[in-house]
Amino acid sequence: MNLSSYEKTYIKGLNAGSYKDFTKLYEIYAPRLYAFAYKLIPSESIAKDIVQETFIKVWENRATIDSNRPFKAFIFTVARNHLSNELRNHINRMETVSHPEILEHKGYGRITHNDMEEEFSLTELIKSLEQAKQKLTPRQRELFELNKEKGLSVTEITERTNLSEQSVRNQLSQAMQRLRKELKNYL
Amino acid sequence: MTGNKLYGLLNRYISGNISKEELEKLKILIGITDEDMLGKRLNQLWTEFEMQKKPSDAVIGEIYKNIEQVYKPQAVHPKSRCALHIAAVLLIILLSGFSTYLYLTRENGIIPNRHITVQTKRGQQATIFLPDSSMVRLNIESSLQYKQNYGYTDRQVNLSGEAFFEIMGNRQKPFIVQTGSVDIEALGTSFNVYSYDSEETVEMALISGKIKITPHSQPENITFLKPNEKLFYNKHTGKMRVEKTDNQFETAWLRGALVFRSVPVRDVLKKIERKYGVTIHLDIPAVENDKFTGSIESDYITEVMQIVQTHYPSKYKIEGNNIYISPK
Repeated sequence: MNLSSYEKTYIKGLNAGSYKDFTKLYEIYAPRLYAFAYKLIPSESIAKDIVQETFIKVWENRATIDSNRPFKAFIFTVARNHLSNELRNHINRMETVSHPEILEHKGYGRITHNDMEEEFSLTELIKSLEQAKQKLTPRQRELFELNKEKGLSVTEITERTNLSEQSVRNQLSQAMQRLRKELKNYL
Repeated sequence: MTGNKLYGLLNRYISGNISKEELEKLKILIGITDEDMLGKRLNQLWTEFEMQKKPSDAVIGEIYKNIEQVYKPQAVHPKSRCALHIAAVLLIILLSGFSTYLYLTRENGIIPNRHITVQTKRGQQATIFLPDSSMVRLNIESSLQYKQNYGYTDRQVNLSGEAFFEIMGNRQKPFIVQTGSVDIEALGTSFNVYSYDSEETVEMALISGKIKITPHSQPENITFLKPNEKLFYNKHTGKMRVEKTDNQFETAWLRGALVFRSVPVRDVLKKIERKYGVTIHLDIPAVENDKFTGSIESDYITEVMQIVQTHYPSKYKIEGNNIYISPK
């Protein structure tokens, strides 16, 4: 038997409620998921959390796991949202040069002079973003800047703008859709 | 320009060789992307991901144990917690009934003289009505002992742990709490005693009335407390010190609040996580070992976070059940 047929028997066992087979799958995939999560978010406690919650969900959904699908792909779909949320948070909190700063202190042209190999420069990206933002309504632009560039939460924006929470969410989501469309080449 | 620039950046990011500018680009793109797209890119990364270094067995084993605790067949069933609560409630009812019964039978002169012990476990509190209608609220992991003939010749109880007393006035029979290291004598009064065996310091706080404290090691060193005062007694050195205190803080545990006396922030956050059902990610390593004293009473996690903020300059972000605390 090769690995994948072993895997199939484990999944079938898991379907039937075998904790032993659950353990087998855990032994194979938990280290890999942990290593991956840790690469994305270098925090032991977050990586542990991700693995723990993912496998708890695996156990809770044990009856419905498809034994014909690679477990590796399945486990990712279970972990995906958790991974992407944590990654977003982590990247947002990382110290980078924020763009207004770059524009003010470094000037448009100088940022990427030592970055020749890049297929696109930060300047270029910021320019494209600015251009895309021009296509938003002034309100949408304001909300986008408050939320994504200044990092205010929807509630904080509500307090500041006198808009309802629902309205802030709606307009933000419209703004994001528009920007995604404009910048789809980057994503 | 073709797509997948986000993927390229993510790839450099996880290989650990991303420049500051690239990181800034990644930040912008991640800010704009939606769940679907980011999920797709992560999926690509996952498919191609080669594990270079296997995480330690200890870490993987620890997570496994956590899962096992919840799910392994025959794991502790949540129902048993509920049973404990019911048991605690029953205990209160039974004890108050029992004491009344004893009080009544005593009038007839038949007084068995055994010890009655009320003991609380983790997560349990108990209310005890003594035969003279004095009330004792017993906090977690504490025990209160008194004789069946309580009130007949004297009013004495033994305490280990924490309790709040509301004592009926009786000039002839002073009320005495004995702990391992000090005796506290009260007339009609209410006060809190914090005297766990594992702690170095015994704390007594007076809410109303007057109490007299006699340390076992130096009986001549009697101290009286006035309302809103609190006495700290160090069991090892015998040192005593009186401080002003806040009754709200002293009685906070009666209202179900979390109370901390010089507890490492790490442990404080763990308790908050458990009580409010959240996961806290603390990104201020310097603070983890700080000692925190205070009480947390709110029903709302946002108010709790504001309390944390007033102690430590920080900001927090709530996402689902996750709370991120980072430096200001």
